[in-house]
Amino acid sequence: MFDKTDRYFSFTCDKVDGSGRHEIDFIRYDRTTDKVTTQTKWYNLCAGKVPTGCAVWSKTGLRHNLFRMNQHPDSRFITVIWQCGAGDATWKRGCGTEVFDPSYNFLGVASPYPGHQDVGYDVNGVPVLVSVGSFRSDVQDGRAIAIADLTKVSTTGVTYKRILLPCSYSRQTGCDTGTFLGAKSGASHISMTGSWGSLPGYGLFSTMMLAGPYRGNAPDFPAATTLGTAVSSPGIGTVTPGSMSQIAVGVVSTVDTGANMKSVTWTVVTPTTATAAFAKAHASSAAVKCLSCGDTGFGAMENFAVKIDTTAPDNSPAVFYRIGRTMAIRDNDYNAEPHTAVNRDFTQITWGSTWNQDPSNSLYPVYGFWTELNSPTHH
Amino acid sequence: MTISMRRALVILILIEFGTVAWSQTPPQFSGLLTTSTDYTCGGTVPCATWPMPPIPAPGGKYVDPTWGTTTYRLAVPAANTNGQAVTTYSRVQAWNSDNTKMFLTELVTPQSFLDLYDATTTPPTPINRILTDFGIVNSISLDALWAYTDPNRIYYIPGVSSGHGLELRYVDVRKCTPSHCDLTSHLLYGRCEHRRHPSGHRRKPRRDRQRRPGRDV
Repeated sequence: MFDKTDRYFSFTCDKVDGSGRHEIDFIRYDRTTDKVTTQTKWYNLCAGKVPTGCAVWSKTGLRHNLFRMNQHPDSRFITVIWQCGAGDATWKRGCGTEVFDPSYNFLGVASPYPGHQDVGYDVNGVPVLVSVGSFRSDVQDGRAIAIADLTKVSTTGVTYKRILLPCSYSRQTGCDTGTFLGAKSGASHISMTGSWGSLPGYGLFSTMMLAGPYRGNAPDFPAATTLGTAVSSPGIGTVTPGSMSQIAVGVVSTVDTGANMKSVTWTVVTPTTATAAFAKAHASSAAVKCLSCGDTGFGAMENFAVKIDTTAPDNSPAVFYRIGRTMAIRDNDYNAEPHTAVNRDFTQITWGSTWNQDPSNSLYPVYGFWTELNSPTHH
Repeated sequence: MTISMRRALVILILIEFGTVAWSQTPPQFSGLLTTSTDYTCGGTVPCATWPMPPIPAPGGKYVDPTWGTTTYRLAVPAANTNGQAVTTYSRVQAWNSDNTKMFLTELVTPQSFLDLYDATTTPPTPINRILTDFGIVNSISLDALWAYTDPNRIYYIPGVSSGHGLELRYVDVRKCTPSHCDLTSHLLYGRCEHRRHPSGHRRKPRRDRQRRPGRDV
């Protein structure tokens, strides 16, 4: 909403009612002089200064809640995150994330997609927008982090570069081949708030397990085993899984598929049997998949720092520092996403987590966790 | 040595220095893992690097044997009887301008409060739930954000139900203590109603506009 001097405020004036946020004006306010320096209708930012000049306006059913916005700490850049997405090759004005100057003049497109992203500075103090994933419609999109230099955006197409996380972040078990780990890589977040101070150039990447019975999707990896023994009714039950290779005390697994899917936490395990509290009946052939494995691979349910450098070559390997586990299973609870945030000199981080419990449909508490870096408690 | 040779030497030194500087690990990340290893063991048990530890008690900690870092579970203020408080979002800076205070969002419906923490302790210590004379402050729906320059200031937009939903306001958290945290809300900007709606109808002016208190920057 405001820049790092606390002087320039960029926001919208909206009409809010029971059907959402109806955008009216973009505003730029100078706190020091107490003057509105720019106030303009939202659609003046679109091509031709008409609503239809923004692709988001033509999105089916969308006539409100059209965008979100951010004032970069550098007062020169405002990002508008239009609530419609495209790929690099299919981007249109009024879609994705666009960059505007303090008078809301269009500077260029930072990303064709309104996904998880944040603004901050690269290692050389260059103002950037950093996005989770890239949008080139190739297999490496899933393990990419896109970095847009806001001083070099173009009005005609994207100019971002991307860095690549290790192969097992997005696929198992080959490099850019095999099973796509969408339940992990599809929902990660980036925080650039740690780049605002004495250590520019590092983002905090946080991941979770976006799967579970109430959400309706099972983990992508590893492959399922079976219960082996039918569970005839809810309650404590002992089963004989087809394989014990993924089952141990404390491990959380999904059992069954579709509307019959539930999760269990194994409480007693022998070389051939496993015991847990079941919430419903299941056939002996019901699939069992590890939920607390986080889809496996690099960065499963984890917090790590990533170097952000606009001079790094396109497609270069990401430089990262792994901080620890988030233990965040999301299922159908938005608040169970870790949403890790970083302090201003990247010495503390905090996030939310159920600590390896399936929150189901927001039924399990989510607690705050904290780690300090560069301190006696770190190592 | 010719001038061109000297230039070449200087350039070589600069390149070498730049390479060293570029590859240095910031002290914040000293000792952290930099491998691409899958510490879940591919989901296969037993897996020494992927244990299922019990959740720490509020204020308690877990030292991870593989990552080597220490994770604390944060306690909550007494006013937060729900017991849950988490970061608002990755983009929302939880710490104030000098990293001495922190806010987290209570997970309470239908409205979420901010809980204030002392971030100079290990782990951060809860102070209190932030209340104001103009309704609640939160950063989920009310855009509460720490100022960049004043370590005690939080800017926010009051909720519609407060009757001041078209205003920018701020609170000063210096007077927030464990026993009392009902803060005075200050007006920054309250004129978000002057222009026409795109559909052509004019928004109803605020009735209390003439009674707007003096602006306090």
